[in-house]
Amino acid sequence: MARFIVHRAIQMFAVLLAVSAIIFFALRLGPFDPSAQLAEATSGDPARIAEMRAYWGLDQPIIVQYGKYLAGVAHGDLGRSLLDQQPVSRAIGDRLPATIELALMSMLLGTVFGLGMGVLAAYKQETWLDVGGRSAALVGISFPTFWLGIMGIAIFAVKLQWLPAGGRISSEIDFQPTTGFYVLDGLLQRRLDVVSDAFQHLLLPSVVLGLLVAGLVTRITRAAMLESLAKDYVRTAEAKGNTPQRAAIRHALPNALLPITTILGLMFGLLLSGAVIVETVFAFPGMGKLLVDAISVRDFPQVQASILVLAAIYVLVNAVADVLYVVSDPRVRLS
Amino acid sequence: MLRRMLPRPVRRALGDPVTAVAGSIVALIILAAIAAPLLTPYDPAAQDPLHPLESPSWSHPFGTDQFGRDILTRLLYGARISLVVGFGSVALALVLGLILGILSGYYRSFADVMIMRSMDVALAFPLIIFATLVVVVLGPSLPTVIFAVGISLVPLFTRLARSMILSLREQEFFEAAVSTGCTDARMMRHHVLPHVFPLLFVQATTAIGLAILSGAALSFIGIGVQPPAADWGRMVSEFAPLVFVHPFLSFYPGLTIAITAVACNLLGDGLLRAFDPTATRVIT
Repeated sequence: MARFIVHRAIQMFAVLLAVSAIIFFALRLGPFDPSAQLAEATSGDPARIAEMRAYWGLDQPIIVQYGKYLAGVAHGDLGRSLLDQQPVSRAIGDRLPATIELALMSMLLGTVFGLGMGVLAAYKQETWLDVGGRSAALVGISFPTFWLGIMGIAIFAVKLQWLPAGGRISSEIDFQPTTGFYVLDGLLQRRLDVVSDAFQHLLLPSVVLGLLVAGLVTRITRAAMLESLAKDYVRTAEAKGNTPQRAAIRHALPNALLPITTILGLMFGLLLSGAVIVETVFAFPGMGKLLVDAISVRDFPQVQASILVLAAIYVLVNAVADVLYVVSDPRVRLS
Repeated sequence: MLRRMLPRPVRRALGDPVTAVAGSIVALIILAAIAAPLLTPYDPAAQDPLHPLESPSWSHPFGTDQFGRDILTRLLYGARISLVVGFGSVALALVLGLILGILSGYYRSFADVMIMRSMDVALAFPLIIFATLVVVVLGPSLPTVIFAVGISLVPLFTRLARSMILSLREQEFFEAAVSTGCTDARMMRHHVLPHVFPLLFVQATTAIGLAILSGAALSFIGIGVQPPAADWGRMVSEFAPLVFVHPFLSFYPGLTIAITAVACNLLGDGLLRAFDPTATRVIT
């Protein structure tokens, strides 16, 4: 077990190293190449260009630049924004909790609904419940997230005026975040107004993003439950006098949960991809919005750091999911 | 008549009413994309500053946008972009994935390790974020979007092709063919491709919906197909700032994407089921 974890950790670092190299070198090939941008910004004055290149360290060989970049990353220095010269890690530190809050809430909503619908659809196979569950799952994975977001704003923010249309917290609220997780901060500071306001801002984006997750989880759960319900041990459980409901919940479901842990990583990829879009729709100040904004103003170090952090989170979650999978399944653990 | 021309699994799939309806919708969208100039008298990019944001009428059934362009016309022409992105990127992923899968699963050795490790690295990026990186590097345009979405799907197809070839290797006919001295080319033509390609192809059809959605998402965040091209995702993003004044403007372009993606997903699922009832969808 310990060997597996060590092995997986080494593999994770190798992948992270490759990921950082891809991002670093790829971005220098395109229109984001900082040298090209400098030439533009200094209107071609050779002396200014040389000065700026030296300032940003662009006069060194690219391999050296990459080495320095890696050394910086290892120390938590992800570079400085071209816009305001502030460390990009500061912007990321501000934005990351927002994305994590959104992702956790969406994952919670998505898995609860998805598991429920998947189990019901499998238990009542070929009834209207099954058809309904399958249709809802299809909607979740096929409807464009950005459109669901805008329709959500149109209905709940503009027409009904129940929920805010965007942002993370109302501007009237005077509030200093401590951890950056607003709902948690509100609880810690005993500010119910903050909790309720932050929650209202979080609700619509996470329902929209949660639908995507729910679609995937419903499909996987239904398939796994159908397989599990057909097993001999479920029939045995019923023969021993368990009600069919009890046999399904106590005997079939625990075994069906295992395949679901395997898609945990995939699900988190969906959440991060979806966060980029949902945050753009709801002007929700998280990592995805940071990335999209940085691309539109061509803030090269910010783009580089944002993609690196998003990919690193994904790699980390996948590694943890792999370990959890092995821990939770003795068959995998022993082989 | 027409039905007879279709391969048997396709005919069997179309026997299922849901799949048949989904197939007809996809066919209709393809038809609309091809015949767009015949179906509407307007030019999708022609602005009419005198008639912006008109309500639906006989001359503009879905109304006009903020530049006075006919929304229905733009939806019809937008089908071209979405379909080209959907089919183009999946075709690219299928071909590249098949080649890499063969190199990896058939020839094994060093290529296998190299290819599978690079696929692991590619899969270390969430799909849209990988596609975003590609578009940022190459600059936003229609070919780039196709390339970006296609490339992000390649690892899934490579893994699938590789695992299919690896299980073929275990079969007796494969061993027999190798032992009778088949050349690599002959192995490919007679023993590998006939087994791998059909299932890979059917799996690919289930990815078209995802590819269309991804392309639309890139357009929505502003790094996809550039204006004034009529693109569905772009239309939703152009209408988004107007949500407080005209809340339901983005209803039609978004619904069009949704219907297309649902139809493609149902058709793909139906084909997969008819082709191999035990196969599960690999690409979600």
